[in-house]
Amino acid sequence: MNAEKVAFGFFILFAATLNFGFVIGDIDNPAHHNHWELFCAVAVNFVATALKFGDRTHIGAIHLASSLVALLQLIAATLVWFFADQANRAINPADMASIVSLACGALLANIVSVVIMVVETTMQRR
Amino acid sequence: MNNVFFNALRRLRWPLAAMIIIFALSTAGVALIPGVDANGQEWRPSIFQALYFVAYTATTIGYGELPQGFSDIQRLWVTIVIFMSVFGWAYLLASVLALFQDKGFQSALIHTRFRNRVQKLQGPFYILCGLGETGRLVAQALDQIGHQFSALDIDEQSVLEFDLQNLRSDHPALAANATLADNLLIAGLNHPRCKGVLALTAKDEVNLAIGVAVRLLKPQLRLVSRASNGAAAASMRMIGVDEVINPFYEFASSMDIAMRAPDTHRLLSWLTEARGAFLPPRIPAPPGRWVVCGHGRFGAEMVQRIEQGGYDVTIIDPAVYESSSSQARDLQSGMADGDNLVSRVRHIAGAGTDEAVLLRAGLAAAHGLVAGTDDDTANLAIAMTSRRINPNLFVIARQNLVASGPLFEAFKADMTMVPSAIIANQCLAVLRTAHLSSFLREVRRRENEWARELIGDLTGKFGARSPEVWSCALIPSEAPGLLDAIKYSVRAAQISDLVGTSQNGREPEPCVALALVREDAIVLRPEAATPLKGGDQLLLAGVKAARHRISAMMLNANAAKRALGSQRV
Repeated sequence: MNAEKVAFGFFILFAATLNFGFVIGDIDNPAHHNHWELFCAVAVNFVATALKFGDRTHIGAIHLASSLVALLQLIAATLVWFFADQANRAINPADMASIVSLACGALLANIVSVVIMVVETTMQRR
Repeated sequence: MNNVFFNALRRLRWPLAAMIIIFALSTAGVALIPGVDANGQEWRPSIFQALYFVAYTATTIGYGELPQGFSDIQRLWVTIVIFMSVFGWAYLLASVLALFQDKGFQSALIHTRFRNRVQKLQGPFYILCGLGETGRLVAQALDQIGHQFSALDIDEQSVLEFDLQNLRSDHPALAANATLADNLLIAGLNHPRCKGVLALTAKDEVNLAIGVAVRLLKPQLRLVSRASNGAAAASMRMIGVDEVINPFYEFASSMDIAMRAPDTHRLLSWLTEARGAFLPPRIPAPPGRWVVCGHGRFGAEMVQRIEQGGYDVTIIDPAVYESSSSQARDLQSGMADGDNLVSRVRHIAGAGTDEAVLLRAGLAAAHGLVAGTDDDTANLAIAMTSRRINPNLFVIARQNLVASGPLFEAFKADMTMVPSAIIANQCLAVLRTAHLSSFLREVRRRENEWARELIGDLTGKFGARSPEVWSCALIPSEAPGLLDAIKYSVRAAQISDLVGTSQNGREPEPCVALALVREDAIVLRPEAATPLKGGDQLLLAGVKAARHRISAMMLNANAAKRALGSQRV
């Protein structure tokens, strides 16, 4: 048991679950996608990326890369939301679809992160 | 850079994560807690407005309560936000400061900077190992003739002193152990423009280790090593060091040449000194008795040479057995020529600084004195006392430290032996001009008469100042123009075409071909009518203008054709 490892696993998994929770639902229905969930997903993804800094192994590099991809996609989704909100004071289905599709891409990267973590864990023999 | 950068991020990831969490929590709180607007209606800042507010509050910029005044509940939360963010910043800054104070991180930064500077070196460069007195002299000289180098020394203080030296260009230097292959690689051993390695540390075993590493990793590199005794020099030659410089041996053998062939000695020192040096006067080699004080590495070499020259020698050293038998001498100097019937060597135990000992050694009737201990003060004391006893004495003084230079200059010994200067000179002669060292080696084998003739020729052309000596190769990369002209010329090109022909009645700039190297064979002072072939290499001596003219000829086909054609009838 190691607090650092717990935190590491926690944030990676939490980033993926929040992302999934935001994405699930009809792609163009604004009622199915909560902006607070997106906010949390972005924040947790930021933390997960920071925790992956500086691992010099090959797996560490892939870890960081997948996190950066997820983060970039989520930030793009947030920006789309922001500008859509500025333009017409409400989110129409077309905007929602592009926001959710961007977040879907982030989900894929987050899943890769989780898979790498699981594989890495199973490779560690006791 | 990459490694250091990621290492820094790795050390900062927890503080960064803490900052992110604090920002996220603060933003969420500000966006969720309702306030009351001017009309008494409930309002909430949007997430973006909340983030904006937290960004300027947490960084202590503090524009105030925007877009409108906050309610007391909001202010309560903002107070908490301020304290959280102060804690976050303090944590982050403390981590950053700790990181930069860390010795390991600092040395990683220095290593990385050094590696980057070496990687960016443009021209060909050398790796200089050892920045002691010798290393710094060589560094200065290399810098002056425009060579680049990277330097390694195990002692941080030496590197600092080197960095403070006034050099024309900036050379990367690192305090690191040069015997470790890793450090040699950082210094550019694998760099495509690395031309050679100079192992000039004060320790023979270190120089040997550097030699082994270089020969294993980069066998084709030029390798120059410093050795302080014959055994070390022999093992360095065995592993394939190109030039081994043993200052004691160099000095003793030049002393030997000075006694046997004074003109050869003048020629050698003239050509190896810095350019423009005045032709050194002939050294009067006194026949008769020599007194050698100090029988260490230097003293032993000198005794051997003086004895070979046919003189009697008296050794004064605290550590010798007082005797005059040849067996004791053999034990002392490791020589094994048992056929010496009459020993010419006498040993006296004692310090040379003791006047009684000097008198007992027969100094009053001696012709020469070698003050060769490893202590500068003792050497000066010996030399001064001896000169008082016997004013006509030929004095050779050994100066160990560059710092004692003014004292030795004031004393004006007939010859002063400065190991670091000898090494630096020799090193430069080897590096500055290809083939100069093999030319000098050949010269040493020649008779005195030959050298006297050459000196006569050279001084007739250049006066008492030594000419510039350089080498050139007739290969496509160096002499495209000349090779082109030779290909289409009616008659074969000769050395005289290159060295100089009078044009329009004007005498050419003085220039002499010292040697011609063709297929590894060296010809000294080749005939002016020798035809030139592609692949030939020449060692030339001449004034600067001649050098410019010849390099123009080598590069420019028209200039070469003009020179070749001017003699065509």
